[in-house]
Amino acid sequence: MKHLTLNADEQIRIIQRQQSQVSDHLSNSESDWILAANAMMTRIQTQTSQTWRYFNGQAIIWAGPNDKITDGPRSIKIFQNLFPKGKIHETQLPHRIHTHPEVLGEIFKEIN
Amino acid sequence: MQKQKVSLTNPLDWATGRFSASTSGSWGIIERTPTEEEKQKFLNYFQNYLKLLGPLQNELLTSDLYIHAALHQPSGNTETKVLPHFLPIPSLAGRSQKRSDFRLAYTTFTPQTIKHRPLLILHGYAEYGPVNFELIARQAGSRLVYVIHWPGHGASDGIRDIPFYAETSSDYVEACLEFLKMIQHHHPEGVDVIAHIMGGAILLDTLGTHMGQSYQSLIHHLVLSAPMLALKGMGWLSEVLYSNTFTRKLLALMARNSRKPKSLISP
Repeated sequence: MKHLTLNADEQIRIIQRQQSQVSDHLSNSESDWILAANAMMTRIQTQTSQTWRYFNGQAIIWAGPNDKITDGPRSIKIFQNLFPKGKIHETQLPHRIHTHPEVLGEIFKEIN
Repeated sequence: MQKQKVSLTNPLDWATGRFSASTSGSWGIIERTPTEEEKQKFLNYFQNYLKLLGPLQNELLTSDLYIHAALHQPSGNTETKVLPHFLPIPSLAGRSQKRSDFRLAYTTFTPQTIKHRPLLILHGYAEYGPVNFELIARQAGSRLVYVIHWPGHGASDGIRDIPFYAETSSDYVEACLEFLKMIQHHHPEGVDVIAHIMGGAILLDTLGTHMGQSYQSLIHHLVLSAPMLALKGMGWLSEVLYSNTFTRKLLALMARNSRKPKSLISP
């Protein structure tokens, strides 16, 4: 095995420089993803509890108004339509709920 | 204040100063500048990891190699845990730039003793499951954890120059369906699922629209973390792209503008 020639400091500088160069252009692939996402959400929003009649488990949602990406309140309404007996956790966290230790603890309390 | 034990677990750590930290058993994130010793430690991990990967080096992007190397510190008999597993998805054949078939990757975290049902983790858009959900995998205790790599993400096939790939939403659904079939084959007793943003949408779309009793009843607990049932808008996408660029394209730059792991090695 030969030695790695990368210099860690140099790599860090490259990354930090690139971090300041955020492009707001959407490529074709990203446009495809938006279409794909809309198609999925449209189908899900038309589902009902009847669609989920074979689901005997417990459905739990963590969502909230401060989520940066998803529409938390509307997501909860859709969730209630799908799972009338589902459990709802409203959170004020902005996103990446699963990376917060306190939420992780709650998740494992629910499923263990 | 309790003393924090910091471990270098993520290849992005020493670039961002964000470290996974353990304080009396609970995991969180702290921020500080990595030491020279930690930087060197990671590079050593990476060198050893390349040895373990062997021919698979050519199947993964440089960025994925960094991530895998950091996540799975190669020591002792860890070979079987290091490598992702691959599930062929015949219906997506031809979607890959490199291969005529299509392989969906998934990573497993195996505890020393298994006492509970397996846990499936379905990550979101532009995420790398084994890293983004490392905290969950670490806290899963006595569960076998499966982390899917959605098409175009992680080690799965797909169009990789632009890291997130979905020509149509059915691509994700096909992958999800085959993945669940495999899980049901190995774990007919059922599983628990944690799904985040796009992962939640794919699962609900797959199970609700396209599948019936067999697979819905496979799931005991379904945890949806900010599921993609409704979005605020697409303005957030630039932020995700930023993150995505960071985790994939920019890490590739670390290899001196080459996507081949071999270029990481001096001649």
